[in-house]
Amino acid sequence: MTPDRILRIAVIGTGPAGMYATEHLIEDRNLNVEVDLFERLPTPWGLIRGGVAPDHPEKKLIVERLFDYFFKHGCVRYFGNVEVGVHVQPRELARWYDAVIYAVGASDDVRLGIPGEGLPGSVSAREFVAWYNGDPDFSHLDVDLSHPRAVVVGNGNVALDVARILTAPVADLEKTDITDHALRALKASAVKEVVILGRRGISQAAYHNPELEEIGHLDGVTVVVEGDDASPPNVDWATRRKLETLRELSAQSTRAAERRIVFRFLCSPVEMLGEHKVEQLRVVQNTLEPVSNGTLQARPTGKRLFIDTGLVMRSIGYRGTPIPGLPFDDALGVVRHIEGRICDDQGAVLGNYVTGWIKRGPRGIIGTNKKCARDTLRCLIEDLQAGRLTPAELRSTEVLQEIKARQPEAVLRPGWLRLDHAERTAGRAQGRPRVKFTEREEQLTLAAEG
Amino acid sequence: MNQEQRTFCRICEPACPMIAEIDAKGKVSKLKPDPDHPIGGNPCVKGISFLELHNDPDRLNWPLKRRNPRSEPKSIFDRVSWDEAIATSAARLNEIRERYGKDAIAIYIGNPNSFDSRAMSACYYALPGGLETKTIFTAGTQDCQNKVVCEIAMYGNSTFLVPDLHHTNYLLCIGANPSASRWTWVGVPNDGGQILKDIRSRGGTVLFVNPRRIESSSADTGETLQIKPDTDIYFLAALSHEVHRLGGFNEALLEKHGKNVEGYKRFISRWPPERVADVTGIPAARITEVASDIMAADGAACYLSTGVNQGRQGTLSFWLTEMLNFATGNLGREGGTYKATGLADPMPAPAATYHVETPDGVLPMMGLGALPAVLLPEIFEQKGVRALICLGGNPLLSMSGEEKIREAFSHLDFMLCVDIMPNATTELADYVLPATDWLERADITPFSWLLSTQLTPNVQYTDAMEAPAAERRTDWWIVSRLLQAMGLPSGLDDPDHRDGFNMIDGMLADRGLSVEKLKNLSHQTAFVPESPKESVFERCLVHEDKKIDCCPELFVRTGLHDRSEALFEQLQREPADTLKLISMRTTHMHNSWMANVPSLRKGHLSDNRLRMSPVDADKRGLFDGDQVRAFNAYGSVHCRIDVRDDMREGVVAMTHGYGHHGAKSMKVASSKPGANCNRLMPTGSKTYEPLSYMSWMCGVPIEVEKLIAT
Ligand SMILES: Cc1cc2nc3c(=O)[nH]c(=O)nc-3n(C[C@H](O)[C@H](O)[C@H](O)COP(=O)(O)OP(=O)(O)OC[C@H]3O[C@@H](n4cnc5c(N)ncnc54)[C@H](O)[C@@H]3O)c2cc1C
Ligand SMILES: NC(=O)c1ccc[n+]([C@@H]2O[C@H](COP(=O)([O-])OP(=O)(O)OC[C@H]3O[C@@H](n4cnc5c(N)ncnc54)[C@H](OP(=O)(O)O)[C@@H]3O)[C@@H](O)[C@H]2O)c1
Ligand code: SF4
Repeated sequence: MTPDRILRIAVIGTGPAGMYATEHLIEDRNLNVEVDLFERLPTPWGLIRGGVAPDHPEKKLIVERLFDYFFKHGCVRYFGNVEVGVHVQPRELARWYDAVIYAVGASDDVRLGIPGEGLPGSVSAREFVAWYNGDPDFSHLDVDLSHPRAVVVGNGNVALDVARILTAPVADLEKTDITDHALRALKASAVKEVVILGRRGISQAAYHNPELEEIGHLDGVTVVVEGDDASPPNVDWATRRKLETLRELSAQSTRAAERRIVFRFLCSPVEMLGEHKVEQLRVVQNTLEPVSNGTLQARPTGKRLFIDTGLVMRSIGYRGTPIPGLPFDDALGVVRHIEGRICDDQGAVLGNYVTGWIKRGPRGIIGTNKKCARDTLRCLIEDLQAGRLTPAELRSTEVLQEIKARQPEAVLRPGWLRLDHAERTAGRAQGRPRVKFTEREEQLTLAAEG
Repeated sequence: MNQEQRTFCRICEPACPMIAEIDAKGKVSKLKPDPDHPIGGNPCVKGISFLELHNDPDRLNWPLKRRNPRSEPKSIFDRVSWDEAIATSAARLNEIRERYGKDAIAIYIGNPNSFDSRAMSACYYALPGGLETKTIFTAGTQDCQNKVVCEIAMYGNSTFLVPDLHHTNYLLCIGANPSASRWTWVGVPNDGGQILKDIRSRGGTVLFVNPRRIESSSADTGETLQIKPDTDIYFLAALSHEVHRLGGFNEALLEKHGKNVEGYKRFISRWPPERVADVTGIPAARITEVASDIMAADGAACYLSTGVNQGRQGTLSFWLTEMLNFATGNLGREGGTYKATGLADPMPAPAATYHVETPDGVLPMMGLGALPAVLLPEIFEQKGVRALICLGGNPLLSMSGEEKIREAFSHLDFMLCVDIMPNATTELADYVLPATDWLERADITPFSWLLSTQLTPNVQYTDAMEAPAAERRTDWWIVSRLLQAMGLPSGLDDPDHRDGFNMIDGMLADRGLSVEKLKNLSHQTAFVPESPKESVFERCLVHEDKKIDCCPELFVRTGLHDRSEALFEQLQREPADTLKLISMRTTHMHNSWMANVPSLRKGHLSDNRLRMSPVDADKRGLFDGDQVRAFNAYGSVHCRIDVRDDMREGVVAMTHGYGHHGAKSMKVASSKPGANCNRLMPTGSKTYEPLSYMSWMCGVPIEVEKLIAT
């Protein structure tokens, strides 16, 4: 391997996985790389901007501490508002670059597959998150907050995020970078109770302890636990912590509270009822039964309940979507790959790699993607050393011409920096980290020169 | 199975105890804390990460000889033998010495030699003594020479008095950030700031004075008075004024051990708090309050360090600090300041003051004497300097005036560098000699033991953890070998002692110790009993009359007193929106030593940001991460902004030790050069403090403009 050969690499997606991959490439002393970052949205950072809750600014610090440095690196270019599969195809990228790394995350979510799921008032947490975080494709989502009770299905960290946003004092949210349309809607919200449904028991809850503890810091919110109060023996340390936290939260919740969060366990939705919109959720109580891999699975009993509600939010997992031209594993919702090398029935599609949620599925925190990207890059470097990478056919200037021709509204780095400045300037005036602009047209205007 | 060996870090003053894991091949595989060590303290990230520097593929391994002329932008070096490198260097240096005189050979001594017990004597004494050159520059004029000259003037010698942190009930800590710098000129185990918290816990007070609300300052330690930079002298003068006015002077003690007390009182009488409040940014009432707190405390100590040293009036500021401790009766008492026990106890008599003619006139040189670094190019030209020996230093980056210095070096007939890394300066050399790092050499506790600044005096021995790799040699050997080849007195002259430890043994003998004895002690460490605090008056006053000179005439004669008035007027006239640059230390960088260590240069550590208060950022429409140009009459740098609310309005801060564009052989550092803030520091005639020749590196006016993003 000669460090003199300049490797030209396309990284698709600017979330944590794409940015960690960029870091590893730039920091490798034995490589001499040029990286082009492709991003579907005008704005970078994937779920850090579009997923991480607005009241978690400390989780977004990784951008300032790490990602922004690589984003602004002299060997890195940014092609925002350019969607692979729409403006440029994977087979073209494969020719233009020495290697292509797909880090496109998961752009869809898992459905419950129950009757009534299509009614207004049934939304996914993914859409709700995208709405309050300013994804331009979701800024017009109709979130009906007129009923006093909302139900969140699933009890992962995302479920806790949305429950928190629905119950947090608006005055606290006003200090964050939550979108203005979400603030307006939340101010007018009638929601007094959020029920979080877990299909399994209290010991199988998917949330993490720090995120659970945070619920206790919400002013005016009381916590109720229903459906399962087992204190099972022999649970691991992490589970015991979570059980203790939940017990403390429900015990201290005697004071007069404006809002409540109900953790309901052993309960699955079976149907959404309502004439023109969701009015009721029919649920079934579950018991647990062991399955062959040693875990416990939910099994419905005959016992049914009705929950009055105007908003049912499924939060049962994100899901990757196929990219035209790349092999896809429909069962897992990820691009088909072996250890990060994209593979089809014939074997590895040389020079094409995946990392992040589109590789592993929608699991793990920001930092998980660091190792994930490193593992993928190990394969890339192996392929490079074995001479399996076909050199890029286009020079970097030629790629830029192609991009501009195909997407005249591509947002390059200076464009994002202008938009970023505009958001932060607006935020400074209000004592907030930024005020997000949420219309694509508006974003493109602010990104444009002059 | 890995073997474990005790050693200690030699990057900064705590000399933290560590354990080195040694693998079957005899290589250090890991450095880790030594929790059971009686000295205590925990190594920081720099110490632990030193293994990366030790194994750095870019290290110097063999003597190198320049192949192409220095004028060419990219240097080409060939590996040569030690014999050839030494013989040729010695011959060239002798030739120059004979033809152009002794002063035609200049020496620059960097900081690392102060953390190597044998190199310290070879570099600071044997080499300058042997060459008999007066053209000496050191890193001291960048960080502490003001203290050296002040102590000689006041006490007759360097005293290195320390604050009694273990017992004090009031610590006034000016221009120092111990949690990042791990204390300077006082040896405290790296205890995560516990020693400061303890003062608080026992009901005492810690007060920091700093333009930045520093990391050391917290609810568990004490608050920071956010002073305007480079005005500490006026704060100290007004503080002393108030203590005196409120009757807080121990007149009997002053009478007994002091002279020229009246001169001192006259000086401080000119600075009532009302006069300095605007210039310092500290309300007069607050100054009076600090004065009464100090008087009320049962044992108070005032400690001043680098941030003030690097201002324009470090010498007088330190004088006022020392005088405050003395006048309040806190010198030589528990909880005040005192002379710790150690090797230099008392210090050997200082070398006689000598004089050097420079473009700025004839300059008196005190102590180990170092010429004004910021006048180096001018001095080189005037004195017709033909050769430079640079020992463990990177003057190109560590002083201001990089371009002028580069130009000056380009005219030299001969340039020799000794280092562990191929830094920007070694790139210009004719010969580069590879030194060992601290894992490759035996040592005893350097700096803090040698200068006796430890609060718990101890001396520790370490073996080399690894045999020197390739053809690296210790700095002591390199200097001694060079002197020997030049036919000058050398540490290698005595055939029975070929490792330099005989000299160390000589020094330890006073304490009934020897290297051999240390080796056999538990933890290879000897603790040395404390002398009584009051003994400072017997041990440290070495003027003929055994008195403390409370107002050295030298300060008046060299214009320091008048200058304090002139600078005060200048500060008063300064436009209100002047932005001033101060220097700061961070926990992951030490001078420029760690610049090539990958794990310490990640993400935001890969460049050198300019820290700015939100108010100043707001005024300029700047946000975190924005690219700016910082500039003044001396130079300009491009860097990113780091908006932090710890900054006082009107003050920006930067860390030194960056700007490695020219160090082409340091792959990490040259790819992440970072901005060199020294490019903004004043350089040239009269920009330094008279007498101490300290460079002005703190409180320097600059301007900042936003760069268009690309
Ligand atoms: C609601 C929510 C909150 C979270 N909060 C936290 C938290 O607080 N802390 C934590 O550690 N982790 C959190 N996580 C997890 C974390 O965000 C993920 O682990 C991480 O973002 C996954 O990284 P990724 O790069 O694979 O995907 P993403 O972050 O989704 O990035 C994928 C990027 O690819 C772009 N893209 C998609 N398709 C294309 C295409 N065809 N062409 C070009 N670009 C494309 C997308 O626009 C996106 O920018 C949260 C996750 C969610 C869903
Ligand atoms: N602050 C943070 O660090 C943070 C914030 C947000 C997200 N994240 C991370 O992002 C990842 C994704 O989070 P997530 O909350 O979307 O996923 P998750 O943690 O996998 O949780 C999914 C939840 O949905 C339930 N579920 C799945 N299918 C269901 C069905 N058909 N009916 C009912 N319930 C169903 C699961 O229950 P079962 O367990 O029974 O399958 C589980 O409770 C996680 O790794 C998470 O840690 C982290
Ligand atoms: S504090 Fe200083 S001596 Fe201790 S490990 Fe860190 S750098 Fe080394």
